[in-house]
Amino acid sequence: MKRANIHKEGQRPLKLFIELLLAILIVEMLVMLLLHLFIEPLHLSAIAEGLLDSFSLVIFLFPILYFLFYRPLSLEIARYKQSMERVQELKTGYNVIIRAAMDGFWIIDTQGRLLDVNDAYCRLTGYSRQELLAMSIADVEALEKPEDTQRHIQQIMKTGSDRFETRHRAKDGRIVDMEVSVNYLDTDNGRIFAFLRDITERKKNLEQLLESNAINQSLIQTIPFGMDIVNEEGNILYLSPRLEAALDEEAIGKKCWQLYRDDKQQCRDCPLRKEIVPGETASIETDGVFGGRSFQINHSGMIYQGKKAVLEIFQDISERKKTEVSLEKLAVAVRQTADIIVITDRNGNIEYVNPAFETQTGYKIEEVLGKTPRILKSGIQDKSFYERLWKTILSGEVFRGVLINKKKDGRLYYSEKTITPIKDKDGNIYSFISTDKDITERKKAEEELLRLNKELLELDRMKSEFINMASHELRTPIAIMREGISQVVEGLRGEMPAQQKRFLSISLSNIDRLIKIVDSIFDISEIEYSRGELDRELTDITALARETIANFSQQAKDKGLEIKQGFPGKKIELDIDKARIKQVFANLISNAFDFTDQGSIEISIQEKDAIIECSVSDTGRGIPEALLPGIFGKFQQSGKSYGPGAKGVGLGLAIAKAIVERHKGRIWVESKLGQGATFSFSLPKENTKS
Amino acid sequence: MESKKKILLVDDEPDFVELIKHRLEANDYQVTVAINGKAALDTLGKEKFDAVLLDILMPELDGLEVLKAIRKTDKELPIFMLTAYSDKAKFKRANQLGASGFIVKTADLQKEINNITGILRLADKYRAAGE
Repeated sequence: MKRANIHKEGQRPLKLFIELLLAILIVEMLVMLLLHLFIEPLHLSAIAEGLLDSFSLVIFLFPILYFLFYRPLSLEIARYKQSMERVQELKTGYNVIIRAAMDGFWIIDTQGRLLDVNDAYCRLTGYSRQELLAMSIADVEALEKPEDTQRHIQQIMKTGSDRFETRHRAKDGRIVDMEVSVNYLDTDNGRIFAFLRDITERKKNLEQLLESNAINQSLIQTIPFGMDIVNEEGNILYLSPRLEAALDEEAIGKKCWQLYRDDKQQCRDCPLRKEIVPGETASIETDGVFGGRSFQINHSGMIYQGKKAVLEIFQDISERKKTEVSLEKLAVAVRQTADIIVITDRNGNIEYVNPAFETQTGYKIEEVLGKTPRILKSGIQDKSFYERLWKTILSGEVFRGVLINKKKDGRLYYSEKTITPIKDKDGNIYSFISTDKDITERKKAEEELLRLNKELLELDRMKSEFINMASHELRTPIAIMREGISQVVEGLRGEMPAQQKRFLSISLSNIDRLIKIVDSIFDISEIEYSRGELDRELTDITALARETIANFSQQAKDKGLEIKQGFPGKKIELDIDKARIKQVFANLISNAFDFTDQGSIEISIQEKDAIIECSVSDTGRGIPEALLPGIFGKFQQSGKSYGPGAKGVGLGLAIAKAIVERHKGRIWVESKLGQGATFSFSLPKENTKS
Repeated sequence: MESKKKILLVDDEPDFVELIKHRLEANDYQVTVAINGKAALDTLGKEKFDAVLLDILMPELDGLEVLKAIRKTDKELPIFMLTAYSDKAKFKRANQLGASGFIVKTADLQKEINNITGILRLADKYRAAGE
């Protein structure tokens, strides 16, 4: 722009000169006209006329020339001079400003060649002015590629100006962040004027700011529960996103305790109750927050939005509190338990003993701290016992064992010991916890029990022996009695009168009855009390039943009774005591004969899901209802009370019941008086050995 | 005439011995009595018998031990165990040791002796068939 003005000022003298020549011509013509009008009539000599002509011309012309031309011209020249001085002044000023500017300055052509640079840019890049004037943008540009730069120039040429950020490479390789402001002028084939400002520092500051902001943000996010800022009245001014997310109502402006606390009351030890001092921190722990949880709340005094405020940081300590409570409970348990608890370090040096240790061993805690549990050694266990113990626990395993230790007063006690190695997270043992139960009493009781058991076994053996002996001793005289009378009755000792023979026959039959009773008594005692196993073998129960029935065929014939059989057509094999089950069948069939005078006796066997059911039905007298419940008891004989002919001992059903039950079976009866009776028993198919 | 069968009766109970000896003789047996196990073995060492009736329960050398001793040298001799009661364990043991049968003292002894007679006759028949 300045150049354009200077250019116009330079054209002015030529115009003035033309104007001057025109003016002289006009004046000359006017003078000529006057001379012809006023002097010619005088007819002066030619010379005088000429002189007068010239003189009058000058006189006449001077003021006109002066006023018309000289004065404006000189004024113009003065103005021109003045503007040229101004231009010079501006040029100097420009140079001074450009050169001395804090910002860098460039003039470049449209090819990007540097035409002028200032000192500031030289300082920025470390190049000298001479060096730079031989360079182009591409030599310093560190961000744009040359083709990008060229495109950028084209764009600037179109728009006339631009402002952008880029990076330049200094002479020493440093990268300088630049803010560039450019203007384009289309003079001299296009010139671009650029101001360049070093913004490296500013950039760095901005980055730092962003970074610290990011740190703050992530800090706020990672604080375990959340944070807020409240004013002196406890009104919430700011809420961290985390805390905000935990609340489902608008929080800003509300009292913090109304939002967080279950009872909506300000904490008793709330630091807001005191004066807020910026920079001071107070921490409280409070329960009943956010639905029964426990929190540690750190309160830091601060200035927020120009006023005193408190930054509250919340940390959920519910778990810790719970852990504390359960640890306390455990500690109480350890203190209260009657078991001895000893904690040692890795080398077995005692670090802790509980009160039970003191009461049971007689040693006080201060007597044993730092010592090893060897003080309790009784000497009863040998070296190998302790070697085994140490080998176990040093390998990280739990040791369990019973040993005899010695109390302070020398008394021995049985200790049931468990030693557990405690390992750190790398698996290294750093401690052992030993729990001992003084089982002296239990051991004594066990020994007593063993002794009693032994005694019982002995008693049992003696009882069996007694039963056997008694049985023998009782039967031998009966056998002799029976044989003696039998020989007399049979006439082996000579004939005797019929009357006497009849009485001896009665004696004989009652001796047989006595034998039956004695046999039954010993039988049932053997089944019920004998510790002997059942003599099990795989037996076809249908064959067994047939075999038993065969023994009664004579009796059936004698009494005129029919024996019916209802058996499945196949073998049913069971793991049973053959002789005993045969005895059950025999007892039931024998009973049926005793109480049946006409009709039939039916023996049947049925296979069911898991059991075999056997039954003996008769068409006899039946059993009164009142007698049914005790029918399987000992010395029960329904026949005695309601009819003649019964000669049982009263133990047959009891024996049958005992046998069936030893086979894990069941026995029952169904009967109505006058309508016969059905005795049934079941045996499990899985008659495994008991 | 067929000579009488010789039976060795071993029992320590004199009353019973007297009675059963009488019945055995009435059944045409010739009876020798041994009052204990040792006497029985001694007698068996000197004489030959057709059968032995051997009481299980005797003091000192009991019936089972005598049975065992006899069976060491003689597997054939019919030996019937005499017992006042049915002790299953002892029955079993006697069976294992090679007893030929059992006589329950409290039972009808005539029936028991009939059984023995039957068995001995059967044995004779087999022997005759074998020869």
